[in-house]
Amino acid sequence: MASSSTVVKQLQNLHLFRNVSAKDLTKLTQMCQILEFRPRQIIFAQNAPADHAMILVSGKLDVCILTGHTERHLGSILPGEIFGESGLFHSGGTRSAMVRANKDSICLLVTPELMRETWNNQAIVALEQFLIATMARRIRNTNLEIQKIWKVESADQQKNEQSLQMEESEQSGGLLGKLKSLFGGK
Amino acid sequence: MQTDDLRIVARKLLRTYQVRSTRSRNLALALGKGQEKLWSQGDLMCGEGQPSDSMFVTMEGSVQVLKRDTTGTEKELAVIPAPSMIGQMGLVDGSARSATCRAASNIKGILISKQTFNSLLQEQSPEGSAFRHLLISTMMGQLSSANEKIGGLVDDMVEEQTAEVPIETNQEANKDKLMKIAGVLDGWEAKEEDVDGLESVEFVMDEDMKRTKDARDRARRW
Repeated sequence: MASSSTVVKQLQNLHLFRNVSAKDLTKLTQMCQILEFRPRQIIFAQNAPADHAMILVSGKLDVCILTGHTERHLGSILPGEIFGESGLFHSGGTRSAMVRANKDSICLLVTPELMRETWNNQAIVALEQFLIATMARRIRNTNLEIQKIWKVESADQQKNEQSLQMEESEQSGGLLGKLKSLFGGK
Repeated sequence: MQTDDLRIVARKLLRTYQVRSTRSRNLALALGKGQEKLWSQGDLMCGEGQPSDSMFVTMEGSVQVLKRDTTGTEKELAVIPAPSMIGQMGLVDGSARSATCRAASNIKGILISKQTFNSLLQEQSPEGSAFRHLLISTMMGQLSSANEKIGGLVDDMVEEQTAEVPIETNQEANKDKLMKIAGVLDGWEAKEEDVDGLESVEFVMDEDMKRTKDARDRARRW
């Protein structure tokens, strides 16, 4: 079982908490449950109720989606990342993917109650700032992709009007293919 | 600004953006750090491409959101009723105004300067925390709403391609939908919730949130 002081040391090494005092990180570990996972242990099951988030302190996690009997690997979670954050702010949601330990991992469990009641801890402020920056990056990236598709589609349409439609549509993969690629599909 | 007025707006904002992790009195304190501002119908609130130096919270009235398409034609993306947050994305990531906003009616609102915004983002206080939670929740809503709409557009297009009886593809309509999705990502989406009857509720309760979410989910389908 990882001790609180070990976890504090690991938290101090995370970029997320680089400006947070050891005192506030110690308080954080006292307020959050520390959870340990063995390789292949499931942390979030797909479609399970989403009512909390976690911070990965050490180890590595896999994010997968199950469609029928097929499992698709979407990505990995590395130390310093927060995951399942929609459960902190929106009620009634479910997990959109499964999260599973890739190797021995330690997580901090973050509840909506902790976020609601703890405003006087710099670690929570850092966490909130990190989430704002992460959301902004995701929104901008998705928006840029959408705008790119939109502009290419407009250019395609103009060319189509000049009787080049079939050839150009095949070359650019078509609107449907581009939209699917936003989700990592083909 | 009257504290009671701010409290009512704060409650409505928390319900509209489905924030369950903060209290209205703390958000009201954050809003109180802004300046009250009035716009008359037709007034320009901000112009597409201009630098983002402030954001607005509307308390009364509606905002018309316009964006230029690839041909330079200005199209209406949405008419957003109060209470709503306008122009916060540019302050988060330093980008220019992504759309033009005009007062669709007389508007009473709050202007939050870039300096106040940055201070609220860093403040270790109940109001700072409330403001950050509102922001996070708003952005999560933008992403999930845009994802749903992209999913809907993909479904429609798959249906068009696989239909036994050919369905005429409307490229112009698809382009408009893409433009609106980009707008949703920037926060330009009218919220459909009717929150007027809920003003007397002291705190955001999970059941309220669930009802609001259900109503919103139903309204989201194209």
